[in-house]
Amino acid sequence: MKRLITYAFFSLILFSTVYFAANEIEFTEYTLDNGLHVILHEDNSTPIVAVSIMYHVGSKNEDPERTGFAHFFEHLMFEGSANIPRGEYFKIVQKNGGTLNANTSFDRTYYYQVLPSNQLELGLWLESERLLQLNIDSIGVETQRSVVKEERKQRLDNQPYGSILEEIFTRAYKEHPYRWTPIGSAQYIDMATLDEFMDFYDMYYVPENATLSIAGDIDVDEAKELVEKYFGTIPSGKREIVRPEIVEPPMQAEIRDTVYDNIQLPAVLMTYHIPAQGTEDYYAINMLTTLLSDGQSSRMYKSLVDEKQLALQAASFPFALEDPGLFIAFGLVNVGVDPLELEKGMEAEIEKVKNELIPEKEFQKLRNQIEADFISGNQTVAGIAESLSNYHVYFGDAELINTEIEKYMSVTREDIKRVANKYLQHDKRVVLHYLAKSQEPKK
Amino acid sequence: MKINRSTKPAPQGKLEINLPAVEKFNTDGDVPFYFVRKNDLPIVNLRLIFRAGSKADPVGKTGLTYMTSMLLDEGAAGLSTFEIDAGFENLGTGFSISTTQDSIYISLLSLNENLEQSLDLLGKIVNSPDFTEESFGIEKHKLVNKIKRKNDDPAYIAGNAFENHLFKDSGYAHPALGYSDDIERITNDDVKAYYKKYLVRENLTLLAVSSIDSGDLEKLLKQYIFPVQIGKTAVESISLNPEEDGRFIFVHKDNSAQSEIRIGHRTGLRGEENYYSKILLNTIFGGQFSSRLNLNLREDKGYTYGIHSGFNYYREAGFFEISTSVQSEVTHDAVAEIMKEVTKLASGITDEELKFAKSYLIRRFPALFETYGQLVNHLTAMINHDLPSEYFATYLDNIRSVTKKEVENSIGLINPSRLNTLIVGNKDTALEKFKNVENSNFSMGNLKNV
Repeated sequence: MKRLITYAFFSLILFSTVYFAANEIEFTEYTLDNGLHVILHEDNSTPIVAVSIMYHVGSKNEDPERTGFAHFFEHLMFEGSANIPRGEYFKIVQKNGGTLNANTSFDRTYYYQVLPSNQLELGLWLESERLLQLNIDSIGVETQRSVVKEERKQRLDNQPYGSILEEIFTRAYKEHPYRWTPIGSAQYIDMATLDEFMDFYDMYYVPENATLSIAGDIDVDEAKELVEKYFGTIPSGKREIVRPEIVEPPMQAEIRDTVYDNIQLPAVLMTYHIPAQGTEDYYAINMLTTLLSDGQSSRMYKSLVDEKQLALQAASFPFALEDPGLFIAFGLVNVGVDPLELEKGMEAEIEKVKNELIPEKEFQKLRNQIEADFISGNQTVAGIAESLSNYHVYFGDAELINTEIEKYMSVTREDIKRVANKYLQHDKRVVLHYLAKSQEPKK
Repeated sequence: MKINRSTKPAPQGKLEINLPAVEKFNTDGDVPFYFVRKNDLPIVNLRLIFRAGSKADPVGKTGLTYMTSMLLDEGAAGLSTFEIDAGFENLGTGFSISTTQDSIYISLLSLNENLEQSLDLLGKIVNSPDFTEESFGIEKHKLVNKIKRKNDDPAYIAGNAFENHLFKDSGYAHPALGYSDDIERITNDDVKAYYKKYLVRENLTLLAVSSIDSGDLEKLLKQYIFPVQIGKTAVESISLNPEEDGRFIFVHKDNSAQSEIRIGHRTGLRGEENYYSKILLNTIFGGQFSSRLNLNLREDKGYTYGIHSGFNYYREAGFFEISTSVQSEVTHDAVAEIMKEVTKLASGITDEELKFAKSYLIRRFPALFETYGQLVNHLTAMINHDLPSEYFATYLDNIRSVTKKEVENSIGLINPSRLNTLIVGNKDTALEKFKNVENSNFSMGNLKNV
């Protein structure tokens, strides 16, 4: 969703990417005896280093009666360890000039610190401590329960259109654990016990389920030694890691619904199922969304915002996920416009892609844009560390940081037309209209 | 290998920091140009700053600066809006225009090899905007809708209402987007007149972070961007009313799931000598995760996902602001805790806190210069506040040399009796416990006027 809101900024970061596409990101990778995968990238241009760990666990690994668990656990990872008292984790990093944060998605949980490069050892000590011997107590749990509830309110409940993802995913998925979102439900956060947290930690926070990715002003050999020193003796997990195997059955009919929110401008959302990230068709769909909505000369923006003035914003994006995800088209309806009229306008643009081959010139612009978008994360060491982890965790191939662009470049105009017809079908979609609460029929 | 995990590792070696050298000179026609050479990538990040922001909006026509800036690229020198957008997108050039209270920023991020073509487009936008009636109608409609959208966001409402109160009757009182009623009154002739009056050479400053050297870049700018129209109309200085005692303002918003809280008052300008003391004070008080405010309201009480404070600076005014959003039911308790923290400041800070704050600011300094975008933003601040070009080079020493006494002296700049409290929330759940606020000091804000 960030992309929708920071649209103007998005185009600003395109450029460096073209250059990077031509300049390989070199890295070293290996696996420790305990199963921890390590990726190291040296870049000495700024004296900083990003130290990150990606754990292959997200909301889709949760018990349906404990939604929000993985994200809540992410908060607990800052509570301290055997050697780091409660409340000190942030202080230690900040006092040493570092920034740190973490986030949880449907598929993984990611922790990162960016430190002055002479503090690499500190970063490794901190991350290894919480992997080896996290300390969770009831005071910490109780406080974070309240904090996470306020996070949910700030991001969703008190945010116009904040519930969009939740409302979409709960309708688009009936079986698969993507039917709830990472923020989860406040009710379940209250129910989780200390034992359940420790059990989750034992299962998922183990070296063989983690990728340590380090990028920045390092000496690779020295970094290897330090990694061995702090992570080498951490024991592997003793249990088999449970991963969901549920396959979402195809939709049989369109789902159409209305959500009433604290808003003035209605919104229209059209959602279709798409294949998992990394599949051939996924790349074609990704290019299709760029065609429709990346930049002010994109089709949806030009037609719906500028020409017909039906929408204040119009966009589409693929929700890239490890299991089959969603394509979401989104429009904010201008005052006085019927949401159905905008829906027809959005649909007309989708139909056009289904029926007509994209003109050569427009296709070329699209390829330029994709090429730029592809590596837009690679201008910071933090971005590089995360991309390397992503490619390893999802595809077992960190080298994709340099080669994934080829998959996009092999997509043809015919492919885009084909995937539009194959996946964007009327009878297999979720259509949501967001309307003002004042329009809600009285019960 | 057996290791001792009980003590945290010390830093390995000293850090070498290469600070960006800022060149400052005047180009042709006396336009100031701030330049930093950065060679990591073959790109140029360029920004034109016109010293003409929303504070220059005429009374009753707020949003005029924003409208004018948005219309610049909606057709120019015979090129349509679409041709301009597609032109930049084909080149892979990032282009954006933004409006603040003090300035208009026109920014470009271009590959070296496409720079001339990008500048050609940029020159047309700056020098020959068409300002057609049709584009005017479209952009006006967009802006009114955009404001409607923003006014659903409690954080936007709170920020605007708070500054409206602090700066009432001045050019800083309204948001850069303006108010819908005012925008309805703006005509295309107003836009043209504004452009002619303020987007002139004497109001222009240039900055670039670039892998092309300053001389070559200057030649290109001369060819494509100049002539910017000659003119001398500076935006009038704002005049502020004397500040009154703090007030308590509650803005009711139906169905609020949280209360948005803003607490603060006006303070001094960016250029004042105690700037570094204030940074250190705020770092301790509310400027980062481990601050007093956040440790209390988030990590101890669990009232909020986060709380932050800061000394904020416009070109001609400054203000101190604490901001957070909290659970409705604990709104009163949260405000009480914040006030407790403010009061506690009077007993000073500890040596350990000062050491932490200095270490935090000094050690994170190298990370502030990683990207082109970061440098552009630093230069922008330098220009907005007329900072010396050796600002970066002296920053660390300036932080190091602040004494505990100096930080404690700056505590007096936060005056509890002058603090204004503004809350956007649900009156049914959040307001009741505030009944001890004196009537004379209390007002209900109106959603319509924020």
